[in-house]
Amino acid sequence: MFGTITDLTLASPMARKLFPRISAQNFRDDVSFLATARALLQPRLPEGESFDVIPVPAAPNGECTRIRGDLIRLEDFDDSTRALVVYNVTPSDQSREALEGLLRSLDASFQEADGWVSLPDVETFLSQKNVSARIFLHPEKRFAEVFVLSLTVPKWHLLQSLLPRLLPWYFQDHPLSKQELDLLLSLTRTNGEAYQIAIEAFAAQYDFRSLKIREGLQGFETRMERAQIQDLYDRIQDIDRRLEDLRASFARYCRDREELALRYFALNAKIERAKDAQSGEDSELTEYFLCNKSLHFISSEESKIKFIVTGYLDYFDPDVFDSTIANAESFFFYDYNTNSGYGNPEMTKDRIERLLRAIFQEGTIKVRTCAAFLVDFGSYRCSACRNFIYPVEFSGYMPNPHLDRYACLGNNEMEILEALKDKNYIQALEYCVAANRNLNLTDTAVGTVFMEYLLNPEAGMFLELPDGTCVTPIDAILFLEEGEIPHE
Amino acid sequence: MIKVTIGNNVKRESTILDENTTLRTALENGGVDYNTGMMHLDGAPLGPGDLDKTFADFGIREKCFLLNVIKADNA
Repeated sequence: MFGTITDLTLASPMARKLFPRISAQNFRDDVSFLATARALLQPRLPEGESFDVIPVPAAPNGECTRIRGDLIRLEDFDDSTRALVVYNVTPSDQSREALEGLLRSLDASFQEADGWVSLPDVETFLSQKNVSARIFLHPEKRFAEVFVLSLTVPKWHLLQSLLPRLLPWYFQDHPLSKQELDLLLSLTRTNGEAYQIAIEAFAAQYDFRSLKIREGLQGFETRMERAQIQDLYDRIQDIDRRLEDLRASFARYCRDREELALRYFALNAKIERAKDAQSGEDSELTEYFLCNKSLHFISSEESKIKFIVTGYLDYFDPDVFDSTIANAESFFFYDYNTNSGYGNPEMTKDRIERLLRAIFQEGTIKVRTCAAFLVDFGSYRCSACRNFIYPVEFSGYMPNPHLDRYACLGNNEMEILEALKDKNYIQALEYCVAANRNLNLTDTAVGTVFMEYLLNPEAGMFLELPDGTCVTPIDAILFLEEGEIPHE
Repeated sequence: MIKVTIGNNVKRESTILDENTTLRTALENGGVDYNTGMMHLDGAPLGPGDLDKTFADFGIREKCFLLNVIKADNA
């Protein structure tokens, strides 16, 4: 008798499909009983019946009570299930007395009155093979229980060779063929090769090849097609997204085109009307320049216009002035660029304060101011011209310190750009006029420039007296002190 | 009668008015809010009391621009 066999075709997972009604649990990984049972019982098992081989470990104590507890009862199976139960009896006490007591207990459990029969001749045969066993059959129920002392794999193989005796109801009307007999005999050999050859010959009778192909390829094409479907779906989704993006872009372009076309035709019509005008009517922009005496046209080129704005520095925060004039160290009196006074000995602190109050509080003296601008209506850009060289007719104006020195429009710039983008050219120019009026007294740098202009000994006549006369700052001081316009 | 163009950031329109119309009336009829921002008449700032003067008081005989701008600071 040979060792463990773990791999046989008739015991493979694939064989379960061909032999669904015959099963057997392995004993110590040996799969031979399952293969042998399928080889011999498949043609013999009646329709509607199933068969199982069940190895059970059983380790009774000296009084054998545990075996009784471990017994698998007939009631545990339904009417269509047949079984061969093999108990691996491993008593702790293997003395002759203990073993005899064990056997007596088994006899008590399997009595003839209950339908059980024993096989003493088989038991004797087994004992000659050094296998101690008790065998009980229930022919009516087609149930067999075999108790083997210290079951081993070789003993497990030997039991298989006795299948016709252990399950006689299957073989009575269906005797063994020569092939089957050879199979059973091979189980008694010491070398397992004969058995493996014989059992595989039985397996060859069945179309395992087709079964393997069907098992292996079942659903294969469907799986591939499912993967393709997923890929196609993903690609369709991607294209749908791109189409949606294109649709949105298309709609956006259509809207933009419609808007641009409207503006194009409107402008075209306007140009045509201007061409057709018989009286040479002024455009709105021309009218505005003509009406607005603060605007002084210099030049135009393509979409750009350069002009000078004049006005008064009359837009400032009076509260900021009040706090600044009260500060003896403010930029009104102290030049932060030179860290000293403004260097005009005629302009004492008192005179400076008096002049500034007249300008920013009393309003009796006005500062005439100017600034040059370049506005590009085509690209919506506006800039103040820094350090502009003003024509001589503007010598009676102080260049706005914000615009002329720093080209800084501040918040006015945003308003101008918005107006240009809205094609509201008149409003854009109006903001240039407004920007020229502004002196932001919180801006110390700009305030210092203003004071440099104001206190320059060579300052121009940019201060306007109440009667409209334009004088220099020192003459304005004299007017304030003496109450009359100084004469040369 | 004079042509007066009245406007602000969001609109501008020209209308023919009697030169004896006050600036306030013209602005209200034109739907321009004169309570915010600064008012300019042909670029010149209007002071307190100016809105109740007529265009004729300002010497307007033919056409003019009466515009409102938002107050903004340089720098």
